[in-house]
Amino acid sequence: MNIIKSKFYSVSGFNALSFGIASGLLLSSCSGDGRAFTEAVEANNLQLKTLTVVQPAKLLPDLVVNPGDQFSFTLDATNVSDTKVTLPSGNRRWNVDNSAVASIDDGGNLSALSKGVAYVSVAVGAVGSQRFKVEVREEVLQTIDSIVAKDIEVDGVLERCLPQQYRAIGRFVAVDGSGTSSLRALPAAQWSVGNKEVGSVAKPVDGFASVTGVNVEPLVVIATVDEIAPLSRSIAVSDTLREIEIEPRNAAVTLGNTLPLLALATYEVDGVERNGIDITESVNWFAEEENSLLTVGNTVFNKGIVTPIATGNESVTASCGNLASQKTVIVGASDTTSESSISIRSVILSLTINRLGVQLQLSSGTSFDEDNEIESDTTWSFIGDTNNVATITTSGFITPLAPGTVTVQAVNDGRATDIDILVTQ
Amino acid sequence: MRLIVSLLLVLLSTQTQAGIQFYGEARLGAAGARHSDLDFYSGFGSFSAGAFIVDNIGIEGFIDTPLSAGDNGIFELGITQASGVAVRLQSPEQRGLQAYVLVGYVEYQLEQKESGVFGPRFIRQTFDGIRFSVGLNQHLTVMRGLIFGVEYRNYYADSGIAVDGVSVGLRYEMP
Repeated sequence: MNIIKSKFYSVSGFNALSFGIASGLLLSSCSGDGRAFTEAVEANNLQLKTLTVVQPAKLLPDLVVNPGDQFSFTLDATNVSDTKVTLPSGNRRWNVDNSAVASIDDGGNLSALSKGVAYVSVAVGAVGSQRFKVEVREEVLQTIDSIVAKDIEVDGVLERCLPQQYRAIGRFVAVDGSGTSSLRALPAAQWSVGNKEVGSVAKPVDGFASVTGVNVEPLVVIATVDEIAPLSRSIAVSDTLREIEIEPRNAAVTLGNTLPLLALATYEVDGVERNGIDITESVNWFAEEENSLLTVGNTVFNKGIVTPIATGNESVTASCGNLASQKTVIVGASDTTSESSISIRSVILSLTINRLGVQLQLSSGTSFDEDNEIESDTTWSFIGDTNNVATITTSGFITPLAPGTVTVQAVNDGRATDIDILVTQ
Repeated sequence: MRLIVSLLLVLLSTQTQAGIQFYGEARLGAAGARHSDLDFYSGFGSFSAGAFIVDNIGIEGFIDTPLSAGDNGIFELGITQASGVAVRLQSPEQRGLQAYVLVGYVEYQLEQKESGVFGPRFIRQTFDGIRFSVGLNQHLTVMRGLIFGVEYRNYYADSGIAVDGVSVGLRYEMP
Protein backbone atom coordinates (compact mmCIF):
# COMPACT_ATOMS: atom_id res chain seq x y z
CA MET A 1 0.00 0.00 0.00
CA ASN A 2 2.85 2.35 0.85
CA ILE A 3 4.43 1.50 -2.46
CA ILE A 4 1.30 2.52 -4.29
CA LYS A 5 1.02 5.66 -2.21
CA SER A 6 4.61 6.80 -2.82
CA LYS A 7 4.38 6.27 -6.54
CA PHE A 8 1.00 7.89 -6.68
CA TYR A 9 2.20 11.11 -5.11
CA SER A 10 5.44 11.10 -7.03
CA VAL A 11 3.63 11.72 -10.31
CA SER A 12 4.92 14.96 -11.67
CA GLY A 13 2.39 17.76 -11.54
CA PHE A 14 -0.28 15.68 -9.87
CA ASN A 15 -3.10 17.91 -8.83
CA ALA A 16 -4.73 16.58 -5.69
CA LEU A 17 -7.55 19.09 -5.91
CA SER A 18 -8.51 17.99 -9.40
CA PHE A 19 -8.45 14.37 -8.35
CA GLY A 20 -10.60 15.16 -5.33
CA ILE A 21 -13.16 16.93 -7.47
CA ALA A 22 -13.20 14.00 -9.85
CA SER A 23 -13.83 11.59 -7.01
CA GLY A 24 -16.66 13.76 -5.74
CA LEU A 25 -18.26 13.82 -9.16
CA LEU A 26 -17.99 10.06 -9.40
CA LEU A 27 -19.69 9.67 -6.03
CA SER A 28 -22.45 12.07 -7.00
CA SER A 29 -23.02 10.06 -10.16
CA CYS A 30 -24.38 7.18 -8.07
CA SER A 31 -28.03 6.73 -8.84
CA GLY A 32 -30.41 3.87 -8.69
CA ASP A 33 -33.46 2.93 -6.73
CA GLY A 34 -33.30 -0.70 -5.69
CA ARG A 35 -36.69 -0.68 -3.99
CA ALA A 36 -38.37 -2.49 -6.86
CA PHE A 37 -36.21 -5.53 -6.12
CA THR A 38 -36.88 -5.58 -2.40
CA GLU A 39 -40.56 -4.84 -2.97
CA ALA A 40 -40.77 -7.87 -5.24
CA VAL A 41 -39.82 -10.02 -2.27
CA GLU A 42 -42.43 -8.25 -0.14
CA ALA A 43 -45.04 -8.75 -2.86
CA ASN A 44 -44.15 -12.42 -3.12
CA ASN A 45 -44.45 -12.90 0.64
CA LEU A 46 -47.89 -11.26 0.59
CA GLN A 47 -48.94 -13.06 -2.60
CA LEU A 48 -49.81 -9.62 -3.86
CA LYS A 49 -52.25 -9.58 -6.76
CA THR A 50 -53.63 -6.06 -7.23
CA LEU A 51 -52.87 -2.50 -6.19
CA THR A 52 -55.36 0.34 -6.17
CA VAL A 53 -54.66 4.04 -5.75
CA VAL A 54 -57.08 5.47 -3.18
CA GLN A 55 -57.85 9.15 -3.12
CA PRO A 56 -58.33 10.97 0.21
CA ALA A 57 -61.71 10.02 1.68
CA LYS A 58 -62.60 13.65 2.07
CA LEU A 59 -62.43 14.24 -1.70
CA LEU A 60 -64.60 12.97 -4.53
CA PRO A 61 -63.33 10.15 -6.77
CA ASP A 62 -63.57 12.47 -9.77
CA LEU A 63 -60.69 14.45 -8.42
CA VAL A 64 -60.52 18.09 -9.45
CA VAL A 65 -58.18 20.38 -7.52
CA ASN A 66 -56.58 23.80 -7.79
CA PRO A 67 -52.88 24.52 -8.36
CA GLY A 68 -51.21 24.60 -4.95
CA ASP A 69 -53.53 22.03 -3.41
CA GLN A 70 -51.80 19.21 -1.57
CA PHE A 71 -53.20 15.90 -0.40
CA SER A 72 -52.17 12.32 0.18
CA PHE A 73 -52.98 9.16 -1.68
CA THR A 74 -52.98 5.74 -0.07
CA LEU A 75 -53.04 2.31 -1.60
CA ASP A 76 -55.26 -0.72 -1.28
CA ALA A 77 -53.98 -4.18 -2.08
CA THR A 78 -55.40 -7.64 -2.50
CA ASN A 79 -53.71 -11.03 -2.52
CA VAL A 80 -54.20 -14.15 -4.57
CA SER A 81 -57.31 -15.00 -2.52
CA ASP A 82 -58.76 -11.57 -3.34
CA THR A 83 -58.43 -10.72 0.35
CA LYS A 84 -57.43 -7.22 1.30
CA VAL A 85 -53.88 -7.05 2.62
CA THR A 86 -52.33 -4.28 4.66
CA LEU A 87 -49.58 -2.50 2.81
CA PRO A 88 -48.05 0.76 4.07
CA SER A 89 -48.44 3.61 1.59
CA GLY A 90 -45.20 5.33 2.60
CA ASN A 91 -41.80 4.84 0.97
CA ARG A 92 -43.35 3.60 -2.25
CA ARG A 93 -42.63 4.29 -5.89
CA TRP A 94 -45.46 6.73 -6.56
CA ASN A 95 -45.52 8.31 -9.96
CA VAL A 96 -47.32 11.05 -11.88
CA ASP A 97 -47.14 10.93 -15.63
CA ASN A 98 -47.10 14.69 -16.08
CA SER A 99 -44.60 16.41 -13.83
CA ALA A 100 -45.66 19.84 -15.10
CA VAL A 101 -49.15 19.33 -13.69
CA ALA A 102 -48.38 17.63 -10.38
CA SER A 103 -45.61 16.12 -8.32
CA ILE A 104 -45.79 13.27 -5.86
CA ASP A 105 -43.33 12.06 -3.24
CA ASP A 106 -42.58 8.60 -1.88
CA GLY A 107 -45.31 9.00 0.74
CA GLY A 108 -48.02 9.49 -1.89
CA ASN A 109 -48.27 13.21 -1.09
CA LEU A 110 -49.33 15.01 -4.23
CA SER A 111 -48.85 18.69 -4.98
CA ALA A 112 -50.89 20.18 -7.80
CA LEU A 113 -48.66 22.51 -9.78
CA SER A 114 -50.45 23.86 -12.83
CA LYS A 115 -53.55 23.39 -14.93
CA GLY A 116 -53.84 20.11 -16.77
CA VAL A 117 -54.45 16.42 -16.29
CA ALA A 118 -52.09 13.99 -14.61
CA TYR A 119 -52.39 10.32 -13.80
CA VAL A 120 -51.13 8.89 -10.54
CA SER A 121 -49.91 5.33 -10.20
CA VAL A 122 -47.90 3.28 -7.75
CA ALA A 123 -45.89 0.09 -8.03
CA VAL A 124 -44.77 -2.51 -5.53
CA GLY A 125 -42.20 -4.76 -7.07
CA ALA A 126 -43.54 -5.77 -10.45
CA VAL A 127 -47.16 -5.15 -9.42
CA GLY A 128 -48.52 -1.87 -10.70
CA SER A 129 -51.76 -0.06 -10.00
CA GLN A 130 -54.34 1.34 -12.35
CA ARG A 131 -53.84 5.01 -13.10
CA PHE A 132 -55.83 7.51 -11.09
CA LYS A 133 -56.86 10.69 -12.87
CA VAL A 134 -56.25 14.07 -11.27
CA GLU A 135 -57.48 17.20 -12.98
CA VAL A 136 -55.98 20.53 -11.97
CA ARG A 137 -58.12 23.60 -12.66
CA GLU A 138 -57.93 27.20 -11.53
CA GLU A 139 -61.42 27.58 -10.08
CA VAL A 140 -63.31 29.15 -7.20
CA LEU A 141 -66.30 27.95 -5.22
CA GLN A 142 -69.52 29.35 -6.62
CA THR A 143 -72.28 27.55 -4.68
CA ILE A 144 -72.81 24.72 -2.26
CA ASP A 145 -74.47 22.30 -4.61
CA SER A 146 -75.70 19.46 -2.43
CA ILE A 147 -75.57 17.59 0.88
CA VAL A 148 -75.32 13.85 0.35
CA ALA A 149 -74.96 10.75 2.49
CA LYS A 150 -71.81 8.65 2.41
CA ASP A 151 -74.02 5.58 2.10
CA ILE A 152 -76.24 6.47 -0.81
CA GLU A 153 -78.78 3.78 0.11
CA VAL A 154 -79.82 5.60 3.25
CA ASP A 155 -79.56 9.09 1.82
CA GLY A 156 -82.34 11.29 3.17
CA VAL A 157 -83.53 9.00 5.96
CA LEU A 158 -82.21 8.66 9.49
CA GLU A 159 -83.13 6.14 12.16
CA ARG A 160 -83.26 7.58 15.62
CA CYS A 161 -79.91 7.56 17.37
CA LEU A 162 -78.18 5.83 14.45
CA PRO A 163 -75.75 8.44 13.04
CA GLN A 164 -75.18 8.73 9.31
CA GLN A 165 -72.27 10.40 7.51
CA TYR A 166 -73.05 13.35 5.25
CA ARG A 167 -70.88 15.71 3.27
CA ALA A 168 -71.30 18.90 1.31
CA ILE A 169 -70.44 19.17 -2.36
CA GLY A 170 -69.66 22.49 -4.01
CA ARG A 171 -69.78 23.72 -7.58
CA PHE A 172 -66.56 25.38 -8.72
CA VAL A 173 -66.21 27.65 -11.74
CA ALA A 174 -63.32 29.37 -13.48
CA VAL A 175 -62.49 32.81 -12.10
CA ASP A 176 -63.58 34.46 -15.34
CA GLY A 177 -66.69 32.28 -15.55
CA SER A 178 -65.52 30.55 -18.70
CA GLY A 179 -65.60 26.84 -19.42
CA THR A 180 -67.39 24.08 -17.58
CA SER A 181 -67.78 23.87 -13.83
CA SER A 182 -66.63 21.07 -11.56
CA LEU A 183 -68.06 19.43 -8.46
CA ARG A 184 -65.79 19.02 -5.46
CA ALA A 185 -66.22 17.87 -1.89
CA LEU A 186 -66.15 20.59 0.75
CA PRO A 187 -64.32 19.05 3.73
CA ALA A 188 -63.95 22.45 5.37
CA ALA A 189 -67.70 23.11 5.49
CA GLN A 190 -69.19 24.19 8.82
CA TRP A 191 -72.23 22.25 9.97
CA SER A 192 -75.25 23.01 12.10
CA VAL A 193 -78.85 21.91 12.52
CA GLY A 194 -81.92 24.10 12.25
CA ASN A 195 -83.94 22.27 14.91
CA LYS A 196 -81.80 21.05 17.81
CA GLU A 197 -84.67 19.20 19.47
CA VAL A 198 -84.78 16.83 16.51
CA GLY A 199 -81.12 16.00 16.18
CA SER A 200 -77.52 17.10 16.02
CA VAL A 201 -74.51 17.16 13.76
CA ALA A 202 -70.93 16.56 14.86
CA LYS A 203 -67.78 18.20 13.60
CA PRO A 204 -66.69 16.54 10.33
CA VAL A 205 -64.04 13.84 10.29
CA ASP A 206 -62.33 13.27 6.95
CA GLY A 207 -64.87 15.58 5.36
CA PHE A 208 -67.92 13.72 6.65
CA ALA A 209 -70.23 15.13 9.31
CA SER A 210 -72.02 12.70 11.57
CA VAL A 211 -75.75 13.51 11.61
CA THR A 212 -77.98 12.03 14.32
CA GLY A 213 -81.73 12.31 14.63
CA VAL A 214 -83.41 11.73 17.97
CA ASN A 215 -87.06 12.59 17.42
CA VAL A 216 -89.43 11.68 14.60
CA GLU A 217 -89.47 14.89 12.61
CA PRO A 218 -87.56 16.17 9.61
CA LEU A 219 -84.08 17.24 10.72
CA VAL A 220 -82.71 20.32 8.99
CA VAL A 221 -78.94 20.21 8.49
CA ILE A 222 -77.08 23.27 7.26
CA ALA A 223 -73.68 23.44 5.55
CA THR A 224 -71.79 26.73 5.40
CA VAL A 225 -68.54 27.70 3.69
CA ASP A 226 -67.16 31.19 4.28
CA GLU A 227 -69.18 33.86 2.45
CA ILE A 228 -71.00 31.40 0.19
CA ALA A 229 -74.75 31.12 0.72
CA PRO A 230 -75.45 28.25 3.15
CA LEU A 231 -77.30 25.19 1.95
CA SER A 232 -79.86 23.39 4.10
CA ARG A 233 -81.37 20.00 3.65
CA SER A 234 -84.23 18.30 5.40
CA ILE A 235 -83.57 14.70 6.39
CA ALA A 236 -86.44 12.51 7.57
CA VAL A 237 -86.08 10.77 10.94
CA SER A 238 -87.99 7.52 10.80
CA ASP A 239 -89.97 6.02 13.66
CA THR A 240 -88.23 2.66 13.81
CA LEU A 241 -86.68 2.76 17.28
CA ARG A 242 -88.78 0.53 19.52
CA GLU A 243 -86.83 0.08 22.73
CA ILE A 244 -83.65 1.01 24.53
CA GLU A 245 -82.16 -1.43 27.01
CA ILE A 246 -79.31 -0.59 29.34
CA GLU A 247 -76.77 -3.31 29.95
CA PRO A 248 -75.60 -5.02 32.07
CA ARG A 249 -78.88 -6.23 33.43
CA ASN A 250 -77.58 -6.14 36.99
CA ALA A 251 -75.53 -2.99 37.13
CA ALA A 252 -73.25 -2.90 40.16
CA VAL A 253 -70.01 -1.12 40.76
CA THR A 254 -67.74 -0.68 43.73
CA LEU A 255 -66.09 2.50 44.88
CA GLY A 256 -62.80 3.08 43.14
CA ASN A 257 -63.94 1.34 39.96
CA THR A 258 -65.97 2.44 36.96
CA LEU A 259 -68.81 0.69 35.22
CA PRO A 260 -69.37 1.07 31.49
CA LEU A 261 -73.04 0.93 30.61
CA LEU A 262 -74.25 0.02 27.17
CA ALA A 263 -77.39 1.29 25.49
CA LEU A 264 -78.68 -1.43 23.20
CA ALA A 265 -81.58 -0.64 20.92
CA THR A 266 -84.27 -2.59 19.15
CA TYR A 267 -85.36 -1.31 15.74
CA GLU A 268 -88.22 -2.52 13.60
CA VAL A 269 -88.63 -1.86 9.90
CA ASP A 270 -91.49 -3.46 7.94
CA GLY A 271 -92.00 -6.06 10.65
CA VAL A 272 -88.33 -7.04 10.73
CA GLU A 273 -86.73 -6.53 14.13
CA ARG A 274 -83.05 -5.82 14.79
CA ASN A 275 -81.90 -6.32 18.37
CA GLY A 276 -78.86 -5.33 20.33
CA ILE A 277 -77.86 -2.34 18.21
CA ASP A 278 -75.29 -0.44 20.20
CA ILE A 279 -76.33 3.22 20.44
CA THR A 280 -74.29 4.00 23.56
CA GLU A 281 -72.51 6.87 21.84
CA SER A 282 -75.70 8.44 20.48
CA VAL A 283 -77.99 8.52 23.48
CA ASN A 284 -78.10 11.16 26.16
CA TRP A 285 -76.89 9.81 29.51
CA PHE A 286 -77.77 11.31 32.86
CA ALA A 287 -78.18 10.26 36.46
CA GLU A 288 -81.29 10.88 38.46
CA GLU A 289 -79.34 13.03 40.86
CA GLU A 290 -76.01 13.83 39.22
CA ASN A 291 -72.96 14.04 41.52
CA SER A 292 -74.89 12.54 44.41
CA LEU A 293 -73.94 8.85 44.44
CA LEU A 294 -72.42 8.65 41.00
CA THR A 295 -71.72 10.45 37.76
CA VAL A 296 -72.34 9.09 34.29
CA GLY A 297 -70.32 10.21 31.28
CA ASN A 298 -72.15 11.96 28.47
CA THR A 299 -69.34 13.19 26.25
CA VAL A 300 -67.42 11.55 23.43
CA PHE A 301 -65.24 8.67 24.65
CA ASN A 302 -66.90 8.42 28.07
CA LYS A 303 -70.55 7.96 27.19
CA GLY A 304 -72.23 5.67 29.70
CA ILE A 305 -69.22 5.33 31.99
CA VAL A 306 -70.43 5.32 35.58
CA THR A 307 -68.09 6.65 38.23
CA PRO A 308 -69.33 6.01 41.76
CA ILE A 309 -69.00 8.61 44.47
CA ALA A 310 -70.76 7.00 47.44
CA THR A 311 -72.48 3.70 48.19
CA GLY A 312 -76.18 3.29 47.50
CA ASN A 313 -78.60 2.95 44.60
CA GLU A 314 -78.99 5.51 41.83
CA SER A 315 -81.01 5.59 38.61
CA VAL A 316 -79.23 6.21 35.33
CA THR A 317 -81.15 7.14 32.18
CA ALA A 318 -80.29 6.74 28.53
CA SER A 319 -82.57 8.69 26.24
CA CYS A 320 -82.95 9.16 22.52
CA GLY A 321 -85.24 12.11 22.15
CA ASN A 322 -88.49 11.27 23.88
CA LEU A 323 -87.70 7.57 24.22
CA ALA A 324 -85.75 6.64 27.34
CA SER A 325 -84.66 3.73 29.47
CA GLN A 326 -83.67 3.65 33.10
CA LYS A 327 -81.37 1.41 35.09
CA THR A 328 -80.64 1.26 38.81
CA VAL A 329 -76.93 1.13 39.48
CA ILE A 330 -75.83 -0.35 42.79
CA VAL A 331 -72.72 1.26 44.26
CA GLY A 332 -70.99 -0.96 46.78
CA ALA A 333 -67.95 -0.60 48.98
CA SER A 334 -64.53 -1.55 47.60
CA ASP A 335 -63.82 -5.28 47.37
CA THR A 336 -61.13 -7.51 45.98
CA THR A 337 -63.03 -8.97 43.04
CA SER A 338 -60.66 -9.62 40.18
CA GLU A 339 -61.34 -10.38 36.55
CA SER A 340 -59.27 -13.50 36.46
CA SER A 341 -60.84 -15.49 39.23
CA ILE A 342 -64.24 -14.92 40.79
CA SER A 343 -65.66 -16.63 43.78
CA ILE A 344 -69.35 -17.36 43.61
CA ARG A 345 -71.07 -16.00 46.61
CA SER A 346 -74.66 -15.41 47.44
CA VAL A 347 -74.75 -12.04 45.69
CA ILE A 348 -75.18 -11.34 42.00
CA LEU A 349 -72.00 -10.06 40.40
CA SER A 350 -71.38 -8.07 37.26
CA LEU A 351 -68.19 -8.47 35.33
CA THR A 352 -66.82 -6.48 32.42
CA ILE A 353 -64.31 -7.97 30.05
CA ASN A 354 -62.79 -6.81 26.83
CA ARG A 355 -63.66 -8.73 23.68
CA LEU A 356 -60.13 -8.82 22.33
CA GLY A 357 -58.09 -11.89 23.11
CA VAL A 358 -59.43 -12.55 26.56
CA GLN A 359 -60.30 -15.89 27.96
CA LEU A 360 -61.65 -16.02 31.44
CA GLN A 361 -62.04 -18.89 33.83
CA LEU A 362 -64.66 -18.65 36.46
CA SER A 363 -64.08 -20.44 39.69
CA SER A 364 -66.57 -21.55 42.26
CA GLY A 365 -64.01 -20.81 44.89
CA THR A 366 -62.75 -24.34 45.12
CA SER A 367 -59.14 -25.18 44.36
CA PHE A 368 -57.40 -26.09 41.09
CA ASP A 369 -55.47 -29.32 40.71
CA GLU A 370 -52.00 -29.69 39.14
CA ASP A 371 -53.46 -29.55 35.65
CA ASN A 372 -55.17 -26.31 36.44
CA GLU A 373 -58.58 -28.01 36.38
CA ILE A 374 -61.25 -27.10 38.82
CA GLU A 375 -61.55 -29.89 41.31
CA SER A 376 -65.13 -29.27 42.27
CA ASP A 377 -68.07 -30.59 40.33
CA THR A 378 -69.55 -27.17 39.69
CA THR A 379 -70.99 -26.87 36.19
CA TRP A 380 -71.27 -23.68 34.22
CA SER A 381 -73.66 -22.67 31.47
CA PHE A 382 -75.37 -19.69 29.92
CA ILE A 383 -78.96 -18.99 30.73
CA GLY A 384 -81.12 -17.14 28.27
CA ASP A 385 -80.16 -16.04 24.79
CA THR A 386 -76.39 -15.61 24.28
CA ASN A 387 -76.68 -13.77 20.92
CA ASN A 388 -73.21 -15.13 20.14
CA VAL A 389 -71.71 -12.78 22.71
CA ALA A 390 -69.52 -15.46 24.25
CA THR A 391 -68.96 -19.16 24.62
CA ILE A 392 -68.47 -21.11 27.84
CA THR A 393 -67.30 -24.58 28.71
CA THR A 394 -68.85 -26.62 31.50
CA SER A 395 -65.62 -26.09 33.48
CA GLY A 396 -66.06 -22.33 33.33
CA PHE A 397 -63.84 -21.09 30.50
CA ILE A 398 -65.44 -18.08 28.86
CA THR A 399 -64.36 -16.77 25.47
CA PRO A 400 -65.89 -13.40 24.55
CA LEU A 401 -66.91 -13.04 20.90
CA ALA A 402 -68.83 -9.79 20.50
CA PRO A 403 -70.06 -6.83 22.57
CA GLY A 404 -73.16 -7.60 24.59
CA THR A 405 -74.35 -9.24 27.76
CA VAL A 406 -74.74 -12.85 28.79
CA THR A 407 -75.72 -14.43 32.05
CA VAL A 408 -73.69 -17.31 33.37
CA GLN A 409 -75.13 -19.78 35.86
CA ALA A 410 -73.01 -21.94 38.12
CA VAL A 411 -74.65 -25.00 39.67
CA ASN A 412 -73.11 -26.92 42.56
CA ASP A 413 -74.92 -29.44 44.70
CA GLY A 414 -78.21 -28.15 43.45
CA ARG A 415 -77.39 -24.58 44.34
CA ALA A 416 -77.31 -22.06 41.47
CA THR A 417 -75.74 -18.62 41.19
CA ASP A 418 -75.91 -16.16 38.30
CA ILE A 419 -73.29 -13.76 36.99
CA ASP A 420 -73.88 -11.13 34.35
CA ILE A 421 -70.98 -10.78 31.95
CA LEU A 422 -70.70 -7.57 29.96
CA VAL A 423 -68.49 -7.83 26.93
CA THR A 424 -67.24 -4.54 25.56
CA GLN A 425 -65.51 -3.72 22.30
CA MET B 1 -21.69 14.79 -18.48
CA ARG B 2 -20.42 14.19 -14.97
CA LEU B 3 -18.51 11.23 -16.28
CA ILE B 4 -16.82 13.27 -18.98
CA VAL B 5 -15.90 16.01 -16.53
CA SER B 6 -14.55 13.38 -14.12
CA LEU B 7 -12.33 11.83 -16.74
CA LEU B 8 -11.06 15.17 -17.98
CA LEU B 9 -10.12 16.11 -14.44
CA VAL B 10 -8.37 12.80 -13.95
CA LEU B 11 -6.44 13.32 -17.16
CA LEU B 12 -5.51 16.86 -16.14
CA SER B 13 -4.47 15.71 -12.72
CA THR B 14 -2.08 13.11 -14.08
CA GLN B 15 -0.31 15.22 -16.69
CA THR B 16 -0.16 12.87 -19.61
CA GLN B 17 3.33 11.94 -20.65
CA ALA B 18 4.78 10.43 -23.78
CA GLY B 19 5.18 6.66 -24.08
CA ILE B 20 1.63 5.46 -23.68
CA GLN B 21 1.38 1.70 -23.18
CA PHE B 22 -1.82 -0.10 -24.20
CA TYR B 23 -3.25 -3.23 -22.66
CA GLY B 24 -6.20 -5.56 -22.89
CA GLU B 25 -7.72 -7.99 -20.44
CA ALA B 26 -10.29 -10.82 -20.30
CA ARG B 27 -11.73 -12.16 -17.07
CA LEU B 28 -14.07 -14.83 -15.80
CA GLY B 29 -15.74 -14.42 -12.44
CA ALA B 30 -18.53 -15.01 -9.99
CA ALA B 31 -20.73 -12.10 -8.99
CA GLY B 32 -22.84 -11.77 -5.90
CA ALA B 33 -25.92 -9.62 -5.40
CA ARG B 34 -27.69 -9.23 -2.09
CA HIS B 35 -30.94 -7.62 -0.99
CA SER B 36 -33.79 -8.45 1.39
CA ASP B 37 -31.54 -11.01 3.09
CA LEU B 38 -31.38 -12.94 -0.18
CA ASP B 39 -28.12 -13.82 -1.92
CA PHE B 40 -27.75 -14.44 -5.62
CA TYR B 41 -24.59 -15.77 -7.26
CA SER B 42 -24.06 -15.54 -10.99
CA GLY B 43 -21.25 -15.92 -13.49
CA PHE B 44 -19.86 -13.19 -15.68
CA GLY B 45 -17.19 -12.40 -18.19
CA SER B 46 -15.41 -9.06 -18.29
CA PHE B 47 -13.35 -7.42 -20.98
CA SER B 48 -11.31 -4.27 -20.67
CA ALA B 49 -8.89 -2.22 -22.70
CA GLY B 50 -6.85 0.75 -21.67
CA ALA B 51 -3.59 2.56 -21.62
CA PHE B 52 -1.02 3.56 -19.06
CA ILE B 53 -0.73 7.31 -19.42
CA VAL B 54 2.08 7.50 -16.88
CA ASP B 55 3.99 4.78 -15.11
CA ASN B 56 1.52 2.48 -13.36
CA ILE B 57 -1.43 4.81 -13.83
CA GLY B 58 -3.82 3.84 -16.54
CA ILE B 59 -7.26 4.65 -17.84
CA GLU B 60 -9.40 1.87 -19.16
CA GLY B 61 -12.87 1.01 -20.40
CA PHE B 62 -14.58 -2.23 -19.50
CA ILE B 63 -17.66 -4.21 -20.35
CA ASP B 64 -19.20 -7.19 -18.52
CA THR B 65 -21.38 -9.85 -20.00
CA PRO B 66 -23.53 -12.33 -18.03
CA LEU B 67 -22.79 -16.03 -18.17
CA SER B 68 -25.46 -17.18 -15.71
CA ALA B 69 -28.02 -15.73 -13.27
CA GLY B 70 -28.35 -16.39 -9.56
CA ASP B 71 -31.36 -18.45 -8.54
CA ASN B 72 -32.69 -18.91 -5.01
CA GLY B 73 -35.69 -21.03 -5.92
CA ILE B 74 -38.17 -18.17 -6.05
CA PHE B 75 -36.26 -15.38 -7.71
CA GLU B 76 -33.60 -15.31 -10.36
CA LEU B 77 -31.35 -12.28 -10.36
CA GLY B 78 -28.45 -11.39 -12.57
CA ILE B 79 -26.40 -8.52 -13.94
CA THR B 80 -27.52 -8.41 -17.54
CA GLN B 81 -24.90 -5.89 -18.59
CA ALA B 82 -22.31 -3.57 -17.16
CA SER B 83 -19.86 -1.13 -18.61
CA GLY B 84 -17.80 1.83 -17.55
CA VAL B 85 -14.46 3.52 -17.30
CA ALA B 86 -11.91 3.45 -14.52
CA VAL B 87 -8.52 4.69 -13.43
CA ARG B 88 -5.99 1.98 -12.65
CA LEU B 89 -3.31 2.61 -10.03
CA GLN B 90 -0.81 -0.16 -9.62
CA SER B 91 2.34 -0.78 -7.67
CA PRO B 92 5.76 -1.21 -9.25
CA GLU B 93 6.54 -4.76 -10.22
CA GLN B 94 8.23 -6.85 -7.53
CA ARG B 95 9.35 -10.28 -8.75
CA GLY B 96 6.67 -10.10 -11.42
CA LEU B 97 3.94 -9.36 -8.90
CA GLN B 98 1.87 -6.18 -8.85
CA ALA B 99 -0.98 -4.97 -6.68
CA TYR B 100 -3.54 -2.58 -8.07
CA VAL B 101 -6.69 -0.68 -7.33
CA LEU B 102 -9.26 0.43 -9.84
CA VAL B 103 -11.69 3.29 -9.25
CA GLY B 104 -14.18 4.38 -11.81
CA TYR B 105 -17.67 4.81 -13.06
CA VAL B 106 -19.97 1.89 -13.87
CA GLU B 107 -23.43 1.61 -15.35
CA TYR B 108 -25.01 -1.77 -14.81
CA GLN B 109 -28.39 -3.36 -15.28
CA LEU B 110 -29.99 -5.84 -12.89
CA GLU B 111 -32.82 -8.11 -13.85
CA GLN B 112 -34.90 -10.07 -11.38
CA LYS B 113 -37.36 -12.70 -12.52
CA GLU B 114 -40.04 -14.37 -10.46
CA SER B 115 -42.17 -17.35 -11.27
CA GLY B 116 -45.33 -17.71 -9.23
CA VAL B 117 -49.08 -18.10 -9.26
CA PHE B 118 -49.45 -14.92 -11.29
CA GLY B 119 -47.09 -16.08 -14.02
CA PRO B 120 -43.65 -14.69 -14.68
CA ARG B 121 -42.91 -11.22 -13.36
CA PHE B 122 -39.70 -9.40 -13.84
CA ILE B 123 -37.98 -6.17 -12.91
CA ARG B 124 -35.17 -4.68 -14.91
CA GLN B 125 -33.39 -1.55 -13.81
CA THR B 126 -30.24 0.37 -14.62
CA PHE B 127 -27.97 1.77 -11.95
CA ASP B 128 -25.10 4.25 -12.09
CA GLY B 129 -22.36 3.99 -9.55
CA ILE B 130 -18.75 3.57 -8.64
CA ARG B 131 -16.60 0.61 -9.51
CA PHE B 132 -13.92 -0.19 -6.97
CA SER B 133 -11.54 -3.08 -7.47
CA VAL B 134 -8.44 -4.44 -5.78
CA GLY B 135 -6.31 -7.18 -7.22
CA LEU B 136 -3.00 -8.86 -7.75
CA ASN B 137 -1.26 -9.46 -11.08
CA GLN B 138 1.50 -11.93 -11.75
CA HIS B 139 3.63 -11.54 -14.89
CA LEU B 140 3.97 -14.86 -16.67
CA THR B 141 7.21 -16.04 -18.11
CA VAL B 142 5.59 -18.07 -20.86
CA MET B 143 5.05 -14.96 -22.93
CA ARG B 144 6.32 -11.44 -22.58
CA GLY B 145 3.50 -9.02 -21.58
CA LEU B 146 1.13 -11.80 -20.48
CA ILE B 147 -0.19 -11.40 -16.95
CA PHE B 148 -2.42 -13.52 -14.74
CA GLY B 149 -4.55 -11.75 -12.15
CA VAL B 150 -7.13 -12.18 -9.41
CA GLU B 151 -9.47 -9.39 -8.46
CA TYR B 152 -12.28 -8.37 -6.12
CA ARG B 153 -14.67 -5.73 -7.44
CA ASN B 154 -17.61 -3.84 -6.00
CA TYR B 155 -20.25 -1.86 -7.89
CA TYR B 156 -21.69 0.72 -5.51
CA ALA B 157 -24.80 2.66 -6.55
CA ASP B 158 -26.39 3.52 -3.19
CA SER B 159 -29.38 1.44 -4.24
CA GLY B 160 -29.76 -0.87 -1.29
CA ILE B 161 -28.53 -3.78 -3.41
CA ALA B 162 -24.97 -4.94 -2.81
CA VAL B 163 -23.21 -6.06 -5.98
CA ASP B 164 -19.69 -7.44 -6.01
CA GLY B 165 -17.64 -10.25 -7.46
CA VAL B 166 -14.35 -12.07 -7.71
CA SER B 167 -12.65 -12.98 -10.93
CA VAL B 168 -9.53 -14.35 -12.51
CA GLY B 169 -8.14 -13.11 -15.80
CA LEU B 170 -5.40 -12.78 -18.30
CA ARG B 171 -4.12 -9.46 -19.56
CA TYR B 172 -1.71 -8.52 -22.20
CA GLU B 173 0.38 -5.39 -22.04
CA MET B 174 1.91 -4.22 -25.27
CA PRO B 175 5.63 -3.60 -25.08
